[in-house]
Amino acid sequence: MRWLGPILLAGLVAALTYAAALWATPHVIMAKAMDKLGAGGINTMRHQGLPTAESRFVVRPSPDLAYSICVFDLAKGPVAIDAFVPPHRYWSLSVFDANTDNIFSVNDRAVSGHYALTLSKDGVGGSLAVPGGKGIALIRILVTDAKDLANIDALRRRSTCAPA
Amino acid sequence: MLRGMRRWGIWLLAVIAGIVIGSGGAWLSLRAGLGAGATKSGPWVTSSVTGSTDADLRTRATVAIAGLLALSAKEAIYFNAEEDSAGAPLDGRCRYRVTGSDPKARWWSLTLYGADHFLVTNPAQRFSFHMRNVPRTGDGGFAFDVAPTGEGDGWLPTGGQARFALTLRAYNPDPTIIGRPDRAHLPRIEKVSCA
Repeated sequence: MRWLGPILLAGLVAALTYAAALWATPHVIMAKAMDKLGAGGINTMRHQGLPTAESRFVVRPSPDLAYSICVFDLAKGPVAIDAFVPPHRYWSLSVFDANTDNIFSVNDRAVSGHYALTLSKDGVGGSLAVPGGKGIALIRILVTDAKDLANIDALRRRSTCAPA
Repeated sequence: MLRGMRRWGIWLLAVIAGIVIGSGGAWLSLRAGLGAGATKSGPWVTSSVTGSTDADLRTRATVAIAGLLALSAKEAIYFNAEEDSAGAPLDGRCRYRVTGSDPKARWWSLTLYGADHFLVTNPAQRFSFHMRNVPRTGDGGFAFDVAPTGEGDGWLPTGGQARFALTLRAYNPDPTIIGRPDRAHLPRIEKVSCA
């Protein structure tokens, strides 16, 4: 009988450890990605060139996508994303929270020309509420090659991410 | 005194055993989860949960490992192949012939990744084909080689790595692909020869 208590305790600790490890995994992976991608500053839009074998921040980059990335932190207030949508090609803006959940996405079939989105902790005034107040906003623009990127590069570089 | 220490030792051992079992279980569960919830079509595997928000703890952790910042199925569907159409693991020292017809989607591309999930260094800087630049066959389909070496522009370099993977992306896919990915007509990957 004196083993019953320790065995029950071992079972309880095992269950808690299991849940804690699964809970922590996406947070740890996302925090690492945010550190690397946000190394050049947060709450600002980074326009990346086409991925190559040297692109090693996020797994499985797509060579036919031009990525623009904003690592955001809403601790000091809302952040506004202002994105230009090039015509006649796949474009999307997606927002991921610190938990890795894809909490928002919109593509060029729904919007055109220009798209504005404000991120906030509480979702006040029509803004998008981001649980935890941290995450990554990612713009994807389809390009066929480096020459094609030049066709849309000036337009996409006008897209911004900044404290509102 | 000694009795008391032994008594505490048992409880301490219980806590340590619990931590070991719990974290080992989590590791095994995540490893298994990478293949679970997946749909297969020939050598191609896709997961319907990538990018979704209503994921449980295990699903979310799995997606974070295999598809961080991936799009939801409405935006893009990802098919991944780590084996050929005969079921043998893809070997970067071998030559493969990839043939197929266009997946029903607004745009598609086929990219080669190394075992580390990143693009493979090669002098031509060619990592993928897409629906506009893929080598075409007479019947409107496409065909190209995947190999460690080659000439011209009509092949994808493996870099000679022991293991590699092919990822087919279909952007704004036809609803029939989202509904029944197992019935999507996806490319065949046939081994031609090994060095």
